[in-house]
Amino acid sequence: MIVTQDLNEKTIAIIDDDTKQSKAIAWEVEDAGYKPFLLDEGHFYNVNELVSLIRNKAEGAVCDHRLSNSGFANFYGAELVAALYDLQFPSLLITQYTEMDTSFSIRKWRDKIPVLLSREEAYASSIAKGIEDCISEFSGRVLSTRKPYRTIVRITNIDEESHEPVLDAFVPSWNPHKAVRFPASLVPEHIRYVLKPNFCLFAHVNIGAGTSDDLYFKNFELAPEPDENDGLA
Amino acid sequence: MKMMDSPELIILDVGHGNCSIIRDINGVIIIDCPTGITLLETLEYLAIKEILYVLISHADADHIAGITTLLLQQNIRIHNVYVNPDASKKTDAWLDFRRALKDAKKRSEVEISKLTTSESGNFHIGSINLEILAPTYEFLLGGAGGTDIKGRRLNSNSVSAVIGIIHDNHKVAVLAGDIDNIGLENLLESISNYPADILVFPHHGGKPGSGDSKTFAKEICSFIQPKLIIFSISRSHFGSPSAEIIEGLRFSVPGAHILCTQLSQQCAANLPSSKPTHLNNLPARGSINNSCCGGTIVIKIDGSTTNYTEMSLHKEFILSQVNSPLCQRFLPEILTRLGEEIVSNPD
Repeated sequence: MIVTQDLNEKTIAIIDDDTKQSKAIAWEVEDAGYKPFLLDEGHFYNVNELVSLIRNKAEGAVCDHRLSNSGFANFYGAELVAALYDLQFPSLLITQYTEMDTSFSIRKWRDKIPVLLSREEAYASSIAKGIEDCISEFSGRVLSTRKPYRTIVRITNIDEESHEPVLDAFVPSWNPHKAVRFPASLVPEHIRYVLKPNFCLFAHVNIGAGTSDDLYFKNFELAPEPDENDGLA
Repeated sequence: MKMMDSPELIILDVGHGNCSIIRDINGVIIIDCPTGITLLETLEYLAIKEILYVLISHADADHIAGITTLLLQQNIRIHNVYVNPDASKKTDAWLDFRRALKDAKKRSEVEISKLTTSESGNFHIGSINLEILAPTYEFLLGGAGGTDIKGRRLNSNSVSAVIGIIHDNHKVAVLAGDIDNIGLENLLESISNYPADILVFPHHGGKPGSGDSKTFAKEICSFIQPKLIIFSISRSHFGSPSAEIIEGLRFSVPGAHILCTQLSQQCAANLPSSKPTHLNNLPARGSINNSCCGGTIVIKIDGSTTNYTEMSLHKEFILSQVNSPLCQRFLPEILTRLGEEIVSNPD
């Protein structure tokens, strides 16, 4: 087990509406060399309110994704981690519903979630490494798996999930054989309204990601049709 | 661009695929662009923002798919792209390439040309010349999916470009794309021999079309007589390079040093537990899971004294860390003993 050195004075907030789970994470946080601070009670209706509380009490955060089950918050942990990311506050997101959440409610903010751990991966060593990876990304040393490149995104299907439109697409430079789902809200409105299956977009995507759970999409543009006179038809 | 003391040929570990960079103070040439980010990472690492020529040997995804993403990078300027226009014109990958080209042309002019022996001619950067050895224009007329003059069916590998690198009138290397037995036969009809120091072996050491692997390896190695043979492979792609290819090439060039970019599962069932010390700092696809054998390699180009400086360290790695190295399997006994002596007494 990796124990982070010289971090004993640092406090990590654990945001989880399930008291049993938050205590289990607290053990791991402690094993990683940090002081845990539990935030598992209360009602938060505004992300900024919780962000302020976390920043006042801790120097890092480990946050569960689904926070609304017991009325703890009316937003997702992913949105909270993204808000903390904007303030360069190191935060990890944990989910036990990985496959169900990654393509939609997590993907929406995935560019601002440097580290996503499944519940069974949330050990002291992965938490310590995750905090280091966040700090490293804030300082400009972005892991190759997180670095965005402008690339082609080919839409294959337009669908709906949780009453919101979603897009299925291929990112050939990442994997030409595996479709990936993401919320249509990531695409600017003027492009979204003209989208059809087989439309091609340009977007910034972290094509070095190992799995589809880690992919994020931003800066969408409509790709042009090929030039008929380019001599390559 | 980061400075260098002499021109360089960089063979990237891109997994299953091919990608080479030739750089000189006068410019940069890229040959083949596979999927993945290793090329983009390497360009960033070397601070390369301008590419004089991109040459695509043929239109298989492991050689062409990365050109689209390369063209879309707004901080990189590409002046010329030479493609081998085979039968892929109707695929999504080809359409993506054309879209990216249109986008790149909005930022700056990009010239597109065909890559054949007669149409593209030779390329120069500084004192380095690139010679297109195949395909001939006449051979390409049959096209992938068509037939050659002898009625043999051609595919994209048959019409793959083969590129020779020359410095100071010395033949440094041959990058053989994915040329198969039909393409090689056609090449041998126009050039009888082409002795060069280095061969990037075609098709990642896989089966050369309908031909016999051992015969193919014998023929191409007799033609080039390389001292260093490189296989650009992925560890997860079992069977590359094939044992028949290694056996065949040993027949023609028994003393050649063989280097695979990644450690084949045929050579080692398990990966080394510690990080190898013979690798350089350039990005390599295998570095993320410690699966490099030769990794990304840098060859200092200097006419007849061109060398791969890490060769003895790579040899040492093979003999000390790899359980059943395929590259050592068909060596004449005397060479095996010499290799063991080098490892036990490196001085």
